[in-house]
Amino acid sequence: MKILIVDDEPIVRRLLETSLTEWGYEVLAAPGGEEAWAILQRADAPSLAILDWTMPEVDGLELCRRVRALGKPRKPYLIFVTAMARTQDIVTGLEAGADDYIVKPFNREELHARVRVGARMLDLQAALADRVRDLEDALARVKQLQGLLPICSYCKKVRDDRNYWQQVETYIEGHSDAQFTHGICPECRDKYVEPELERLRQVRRSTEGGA
Amino acid sequence: MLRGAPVAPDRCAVSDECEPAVDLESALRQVGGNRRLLLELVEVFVEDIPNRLRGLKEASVTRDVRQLERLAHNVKGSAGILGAAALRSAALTLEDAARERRLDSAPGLLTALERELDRVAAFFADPGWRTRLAQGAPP
Repeated sequence: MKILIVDDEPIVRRLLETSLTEWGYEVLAAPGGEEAWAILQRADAPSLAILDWTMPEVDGLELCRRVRALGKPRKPYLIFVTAMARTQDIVTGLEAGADDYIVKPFNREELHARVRVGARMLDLQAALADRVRDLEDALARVKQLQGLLPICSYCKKVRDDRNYWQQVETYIEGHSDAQFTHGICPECRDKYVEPELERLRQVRRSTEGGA
Repeated sequence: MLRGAPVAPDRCAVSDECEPAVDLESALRQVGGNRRLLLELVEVFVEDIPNRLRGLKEASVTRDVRQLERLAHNVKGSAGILGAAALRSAALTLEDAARERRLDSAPGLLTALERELDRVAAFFADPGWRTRLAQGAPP
């Protein structure tokens, strides 16, 4: 997993960079909010970002708001790591759109655990997104069977969107996962099959009688 | 065994306490016992001290409270990582003063911060701390 570190303090940046690399993450570091904003808008943007709050120009809070306003379907998981330690700061940070909040000086093990929580949330989000996509695909297939279908009043053939007349079973098989197995209903048996059998019996009798 | 590092008597007289400027055990805890990383961080910090001081003084003179608050805030963060409690506290006091726009107290607080920065710089300039770091048990 790729993680972005945003902090204007070189020592904090270095400490975070070394720790995260040690834990097996791919790390990108930005010295300020403006640089981080450019990185987070890229198509291959990191899926998790660790943000400082107090930075010149674009600060962590503004960065957080910008990221949340992004049109991207999958937004990065944001963790504030900041010395802004008052309860009101934490509330403001989380309400601006951060997913988690750690107060400096931070404990490395706690940071590691919280990064793992972030990774878990991202996995869950990705799994849900896949599931939604599967459902949307299925729904799109079902939709093909909706709407107004022209059908012949006599032979019951259906006219498809390319103006061909098809047997109704061919049409449904082509527009859904349904398949047909052919049989004869009791009514049709009485109406078509029995008279036909009777006719064949008569033919045989007359042939035998004539022999 | 990392505690009780010797402090120069004149520094001791200036400072409120005779505690060493840096608690190496606390610093080592911050970096997860990674001595090489601590050496690297110290190097970055010491190199940057003149820059930081220049920036802080400039912000104080031009009465740029936002800049003063931010720079003091950054010193506070680094001091926390490096186990420099007195420096951290001096930076915090200046940060608070800047946030509350108490500019009259800024020069005095800045002097106190500079003194603590000097103590930290002196601590790291003494090669003895590297020896203690190499000999010290992992936290």
